[in-house]
Amino acid sequence: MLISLEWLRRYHRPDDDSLSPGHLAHALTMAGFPVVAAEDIDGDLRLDVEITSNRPDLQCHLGVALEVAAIFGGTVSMPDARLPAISGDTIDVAVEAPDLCPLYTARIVRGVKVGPSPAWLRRALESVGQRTVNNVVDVTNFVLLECGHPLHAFDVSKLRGPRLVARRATGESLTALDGSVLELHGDDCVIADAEAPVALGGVMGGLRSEVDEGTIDVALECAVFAPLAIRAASRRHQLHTESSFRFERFVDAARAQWASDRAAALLVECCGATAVGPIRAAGPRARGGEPSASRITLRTAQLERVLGTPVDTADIERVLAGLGLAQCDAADGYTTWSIPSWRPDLVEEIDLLEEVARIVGFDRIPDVVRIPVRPQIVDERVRAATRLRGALVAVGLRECCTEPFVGEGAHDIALLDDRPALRVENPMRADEALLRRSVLGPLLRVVRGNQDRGVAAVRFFATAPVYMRAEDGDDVREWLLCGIALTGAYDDVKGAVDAALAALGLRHAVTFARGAPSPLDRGHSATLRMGDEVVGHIGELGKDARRAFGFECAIAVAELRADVLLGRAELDRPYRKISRFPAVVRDLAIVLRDDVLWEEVDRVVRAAAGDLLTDLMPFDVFRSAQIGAGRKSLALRMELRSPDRTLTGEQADACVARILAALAAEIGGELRS
Amino acid sequence: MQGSAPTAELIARAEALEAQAAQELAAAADLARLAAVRAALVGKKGRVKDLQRGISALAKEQRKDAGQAVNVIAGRIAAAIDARRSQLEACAAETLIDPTFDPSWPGRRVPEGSLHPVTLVLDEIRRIFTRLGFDEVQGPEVEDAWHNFDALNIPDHHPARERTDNFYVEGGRLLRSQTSTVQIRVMENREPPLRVFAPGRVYRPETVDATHLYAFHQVEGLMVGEDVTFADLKACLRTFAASMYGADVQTRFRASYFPFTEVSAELDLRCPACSLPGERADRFALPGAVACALCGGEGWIEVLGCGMVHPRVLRAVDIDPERFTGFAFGLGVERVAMRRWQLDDIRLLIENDVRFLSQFR
Repeated sequence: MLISLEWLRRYHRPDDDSLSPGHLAHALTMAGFPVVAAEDIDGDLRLDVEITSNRPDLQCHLGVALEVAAIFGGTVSMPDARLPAISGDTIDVAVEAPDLCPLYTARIVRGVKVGPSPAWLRRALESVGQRTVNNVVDVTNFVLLECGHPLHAFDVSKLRGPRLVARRATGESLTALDGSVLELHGDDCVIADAEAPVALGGVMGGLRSEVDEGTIDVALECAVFAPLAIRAASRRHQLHTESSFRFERFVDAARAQWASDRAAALLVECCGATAVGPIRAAGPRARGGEPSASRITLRTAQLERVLGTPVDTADIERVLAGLGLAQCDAADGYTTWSIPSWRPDLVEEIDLLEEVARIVGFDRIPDVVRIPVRPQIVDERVRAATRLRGALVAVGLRECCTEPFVGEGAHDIALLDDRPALRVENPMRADEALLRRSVLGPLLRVVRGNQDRGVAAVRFFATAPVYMRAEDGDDVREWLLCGIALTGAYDDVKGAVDAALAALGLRHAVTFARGAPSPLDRGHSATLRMGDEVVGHIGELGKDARRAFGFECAIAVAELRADVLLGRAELDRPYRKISRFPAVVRDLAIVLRDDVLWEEVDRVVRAAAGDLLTDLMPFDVFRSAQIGAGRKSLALRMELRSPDRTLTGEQADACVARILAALAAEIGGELRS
Repeated sequence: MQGSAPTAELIARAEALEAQAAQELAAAADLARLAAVRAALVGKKGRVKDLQRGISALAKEQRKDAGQAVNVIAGRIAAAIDARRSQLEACAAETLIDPTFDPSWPGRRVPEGSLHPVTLVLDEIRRIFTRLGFDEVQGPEVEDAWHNFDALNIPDHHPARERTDNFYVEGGRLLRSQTSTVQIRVMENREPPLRVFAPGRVYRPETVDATHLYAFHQVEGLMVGEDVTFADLKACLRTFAASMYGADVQTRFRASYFPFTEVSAELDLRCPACSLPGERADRFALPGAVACALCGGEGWIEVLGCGMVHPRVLRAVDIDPERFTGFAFGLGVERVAMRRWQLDDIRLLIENDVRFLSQFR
């Protein structure tokens, strides 16, 4: 809202003449209405004040004047709305769409001489960036910016018939004042004469009844339209006007008569109008009269309870009376206030309380108080997540912040679950309307983007939620996944996954079985499980996906059910004792079936060796005709130590013998001769 | 000492030898030559031995004094030899340095990982609120209208529910537009007293430019109890600001409006980059003043929105506002990151360019 300081001073006289524009801007800012810009306009100062959506009453100079007076004191004088004698001419009005138009009033003002506005009026409008049109239109615009009530003037001679009706449009069109042709909608509230719509109510007048140089008699409309109807109409027709802006929020029906009188008085003063007719009103707000003002009681003790500091009754009364509330009752410990019609935001005690706090100022509230200490409730999942991130960074992965939306096709990866993706109804881009079901699509896009910018080798990870439609109705499934994508082969990403699992204490709790769904390469991928539950996939990106993303190099990825793994992490396992005695290192070459996984060898060897085994690693694997088809030779190195004595050769031999026996019995492994 | 002539002569020979030894040692330019000199002096057939043999030729009663004097000189010669050897060894070590060795050559590359700058900021915020006694909680990103709007006192038809301000998902849900949803979930499931914070990502259909993203991170905070006041809010958030931005940071609480809090406020920091006097804000008397790059000339930077939890919000989750009060706040994480590292384009935070990411640890 642009506020002219000179215009504001028409209504507000500060008690203290030293009140500087700087003070004013600061005070408005602190009271909740930041002054974001100030500009010198021909000796006047224009302030750009941000008005919050709860305060439609401040979308005008009078409203701001009242607010300023409540902060600084001083007097607010209402402008003159007294009319000369009312002459008999009337225009009939009717409301046929009471849900869209609660109040419609109009009156005839005769004998205007259309021409340029007087200098003061032009200066006022120009000071807030308004274009001046002619004195009649300028008067309606001035009153709007003065008291917040939009008005409209029709040229009576261009209206057909003696009646204006607020009704729904019926497949009609209207040429608006700006020349655009509006195809009207059945929920548009139009103002129509006997023949056709002459205005899109509350939004813009029609060209046919425009006031121009030849206009002598005007019909002055002062109405109230339903906010939602105006919002819809304004959006439908892409017409956002000063008028629609205010009707969308709130316009005070109780002050419609005043606004109409004020405009008529100015038409006499500035346009030489010779006769002002009486108001005709229609609509529910015209018939029912004014709803009685609501009353709110403010307990003095409640102020201290919420603010943490007491506030004097005198301050309460000064603030609320200053804002135009009328005290209607008071007793020990409370005051009751009648709420003015222009403050629909004040509905309960806390609303009054906030007004007092806001105007008295938050600086009055102490910021040194005792807040009790309390034990911290540590969320193990948060700890585990931090551990996981740390492990992935330690193995050289860079964390990414990824996009939530993907397009159909290659980016819409669904490894862990093939429940359907959720569709976004109003996506940023029409071709990216799905919520991701995997972090990999967005991550691969990051890899691609970096390669496009010349960074060839990359290692990334991201922890982010994915979303799917649940099978039962419209329920939504949201999983936290951890994705890894890097330039490299299976082994590279496997190392990162091993590190991640180790960090969570789950290194041996997760099994790897051959094969994972597309887009992973079936031959170089695996499915991770804890027990029977699938907790992740790992592998090299298949040829089709590489082509779809435009990768020329090998890409390996992994995706883990972070939500499951974090929940089962064993972060504080008891430590494993370190032996003080020397190690015996033994190498074994085992021949076994080609399809036996290392995981199984590892399990069998560990179980057979028991406590003595302190390290186990494979160091060679090969296949040859000599070994035989369908078999492989696996070389492994074991480190054996006893926790409590130096291991003898015989003891080590016995342990190796146990291991060999177990390998033979459980997975058909035999010592290579 | 009353020496006889032969004794005096022997001592004079010894002194002469010492002087000569000094010359020879100085002339020995390297360790090999020093070894030769040493052998000639103190070897089995060396001149020092000659002197010592000369002692036995003296009269018995003169041997003691002469022997002592000669041995002192012999000791000095031996020490001079050692000193010269140390000297020559040091020089030799000097010449062992390989002039082609480049100790400044870059070390062997190991793959380096990094946390995203947003995570770094989040971790810091986490640390501060944890210290202030707040527990971390999480909530879902795909939300229903109840948690995102109704319970937060944003009724049907409120403009904040418009499709222009929210990503609606098929089935009537939406991607949460604020982390305040987590407040509701916590209050639905736990009894006061409560002190929680909820970091998370939120989504709004904003046109992406240098200062706007359509998905960004917030940290929501909530404290509810029997006597939680606006003074507690000020104390907590001032402590947060001082922990985050330094103990001498200037802050102010400015009135604002949010549907889910009342009394509502905005916490501002005094702009560290510009020298405008704070409270006066007299720039308005001088229109056209040059705008500060950091605060746009405001003199203050908006940090977070906060306020006392609206009684309607408490009632929506069956907490009696006559018994309990509370405060809540919401903080934008990307903005903190932008200020901290002077990022001139917020899109850097979602582009994930390695050249950018590698600057953060």
